[in-house]
Amino acid sequence: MRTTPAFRRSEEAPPAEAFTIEVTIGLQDRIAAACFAYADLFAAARRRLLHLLIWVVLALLAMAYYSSWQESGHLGTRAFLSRFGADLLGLGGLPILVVAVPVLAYYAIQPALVRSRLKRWYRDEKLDQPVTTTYRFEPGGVAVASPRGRSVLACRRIDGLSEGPAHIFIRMRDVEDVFALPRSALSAQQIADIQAWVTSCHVGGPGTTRPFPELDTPPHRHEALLSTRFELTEEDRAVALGWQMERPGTRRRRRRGFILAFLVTALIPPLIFGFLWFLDSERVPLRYAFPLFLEMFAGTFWRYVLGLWAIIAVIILLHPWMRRRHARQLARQMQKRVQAYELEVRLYDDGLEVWQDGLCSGFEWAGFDRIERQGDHLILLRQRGEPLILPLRALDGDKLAIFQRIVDSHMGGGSHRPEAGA
Amino acid sequence: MTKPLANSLAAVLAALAVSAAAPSQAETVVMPHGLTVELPEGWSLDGSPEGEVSKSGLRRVQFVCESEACETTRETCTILMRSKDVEGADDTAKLRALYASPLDRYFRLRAVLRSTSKDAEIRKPLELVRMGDREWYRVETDARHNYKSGLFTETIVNGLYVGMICKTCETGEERYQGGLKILMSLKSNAAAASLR
Repeated sequence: MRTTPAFRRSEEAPPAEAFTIEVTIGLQDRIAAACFAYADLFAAARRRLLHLLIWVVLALLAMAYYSSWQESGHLGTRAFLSRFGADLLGLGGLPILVVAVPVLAYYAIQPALVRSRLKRWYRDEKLDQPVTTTYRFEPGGVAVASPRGRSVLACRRIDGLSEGPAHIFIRMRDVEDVFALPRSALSAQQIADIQAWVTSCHVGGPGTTRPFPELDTPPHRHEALLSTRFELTEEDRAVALGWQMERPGTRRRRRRGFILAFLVTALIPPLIFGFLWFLDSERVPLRYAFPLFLEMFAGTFWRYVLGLWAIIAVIILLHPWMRRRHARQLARQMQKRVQAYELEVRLYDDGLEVWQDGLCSGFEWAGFDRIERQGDHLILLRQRGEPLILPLRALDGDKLAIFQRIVDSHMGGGSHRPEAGA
Repeated sequence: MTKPLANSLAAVLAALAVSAAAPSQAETVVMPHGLTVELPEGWSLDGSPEGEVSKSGLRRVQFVCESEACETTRETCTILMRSKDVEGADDTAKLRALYASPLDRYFRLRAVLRSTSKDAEIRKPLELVRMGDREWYRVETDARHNYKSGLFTETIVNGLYVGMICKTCETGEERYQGGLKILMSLKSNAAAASLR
């Protein structure tokens, strides 16, 4: 992936003229955007797996080393080495193979798995429909409008441009999102225009000095019905992540996964045995071995299966706690990645706006579905977009009552009251 | 000399030889742990009656058949002894415990097939049989052409693991006649064992 340097002080970038690009952003583009925006987290998860494998293999090697040393009868290095080599290539090396092969296979397909999980998530959340999005590039910033909402960014919140094989990504400063524009939908001229625009419009670039009326003079002439300020903390992020983990689609897949785990573990002992039998060059012909296998299953294997099932049951019991822990860890990581800005939420007759330095996002009331209460947080669910999280500490005093009144009068349906999801 | 006369003379000589040799050649071999076997005619000890102890602690005493009949069968037998304790209350329980688990039976089959030849068959399954005055775990293999088939037997004598492996080139129904005689002659002199 090529990344255009954000700083090109030596050459004077020509001030780009305003231009508009309309692109249909589909499921694949959203997946590409998420993969790009969270590339570091996904890569870290992948690396962690490899590190774990290295430690496990080292432990297994140490065990093989010890047993070979014992069996070589302490007859010197030569005897030991030949024994150790034979052990590793024979049955003794199998545990390493049994661990390493699936882990390496998982390591190899992890990026594809991430993409397929993202795809499932977007499908479950009904975010997989293509959305026509208009990007208006101006000398002082960019305005992005789609049926999902509208965002305006000043140049000081644009980080630069990265180019992938199928997409160009406009990176944003301290925003966990990226504009992913599919190359297939862009002409060469449009790509060149965007490249030229980014050379001027980025953090520290000449574009930061250009005015951007939409941000400088808010479109709403009238006073906001309610305005409140807060900063997104690690705890808020953990709540949002925890909420994501309890979505109906996620829960359904989790249930399915556990059922599958029960079925697969029932097959593991015979499969391992069958695998070892198959790999053994001196294996007993199946006609003699099969009755013994049956006897082993009836006599012993079912105990292993029960043992594995007990482990799964413990995992199921511990899983809510593990999910909370995972959400907290992820929240900490994410909080570290970006600088926290003070957010200002403004409620108007026609919608809700979230303001921060050089960035404003607006959402119409009609686009909201309902509000769920999650402890000390409100989750504002939208029909065609990621939900918004609003900590109750931002609605202190009589602000909560005002918020409820505004929401009641503007959001359709009856299930939107914060209490409904508590 | 006419041919029939020569034949009958040979037969008489052979009979004389048998009657003269039989009592003198019923050799008793005294092995460690107070075990004795009687070697049938034509069999002899190959090496020391003390046998050789391998690194894993298995003692092997080898016998070889040198009779005329054995020129084609090339039968040999090995008696194995292991002083390591086997779990169980008495000899019968200990013997049964040897192959209580199907996994142990699997590895026994694997071992005997491996020590016979590639693509060997099981001629008689691994089972407990009474031979002589003892119970034995016996399994017999049938080798491919040009390899020796094997008779693999194991028992427990006064808590001692005793195995016997006989190998033969014989392919007919009757096999290991000499070997089985040795097996059935196995006796334990407990007093002698306690003296050692």
